[in-house]
Amino acid sequence: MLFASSEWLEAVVHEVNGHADLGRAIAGLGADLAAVVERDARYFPRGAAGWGRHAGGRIVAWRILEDEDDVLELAPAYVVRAPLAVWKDLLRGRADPVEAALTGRVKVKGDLDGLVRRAGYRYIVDEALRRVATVFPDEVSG
Amino acid sequence: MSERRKGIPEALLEQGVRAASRAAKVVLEDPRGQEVLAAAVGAAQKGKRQLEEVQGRVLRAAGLPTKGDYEDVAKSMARLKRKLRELTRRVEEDRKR
Repeated sequence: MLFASSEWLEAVVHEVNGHADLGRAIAGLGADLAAVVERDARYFPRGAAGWGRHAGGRIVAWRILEDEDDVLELAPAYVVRAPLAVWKDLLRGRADPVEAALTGRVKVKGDLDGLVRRAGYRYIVDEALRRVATVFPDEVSG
Repeated sequence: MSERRKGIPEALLEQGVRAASRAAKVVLEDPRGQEVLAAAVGAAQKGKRQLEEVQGRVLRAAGLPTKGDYEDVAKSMARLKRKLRELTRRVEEDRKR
């Protein structure tokens, strides 16, 4: 499935929602989050962003935003922003999210302390991403 | 072309960041460490917010736009951009009919 496509996001959300520990992991966090792929002349000329909102211990609404700037209008509680190459390294397990955040490769906006307290639940996202076969735009031929 | 060789300050900074992130990873593996790091991050963010509030009050008193004002404008622009996109789509659909 193509990274940052609607079907890809749907599959990731389905896997994350299926995890038994999700409710504990997200309890008390801000209501919504946007993950932004920064503008890239070749693959994401308008940028790309996925947005999701949680309630009752699961992700209840999600969508791919057509334009990176839509994030400004939604003003989610958390915005995680990185270039395509960094998202690829994170999703392929070649980069550590903590190190990426500390070095500024990933920019996080929102109450960081809540996210740091839940760093131990990272396995929920890791497991979901492992179950979803992801193809990046730079790997698609033609 | 060969990659530019890093200067001493850059190399030191990179080593420092690597050491800090290794330390952070170790800290994050322990729930008590997680709590300490979260409290430190929370305090730093609270300090930044307070500083921004003071800056905002000073700028407002001087009749200058604050960060919040710029954010409001950016939000309005984003809303306009989305509405324009939706209208363009509707016009194109009508034209096709």
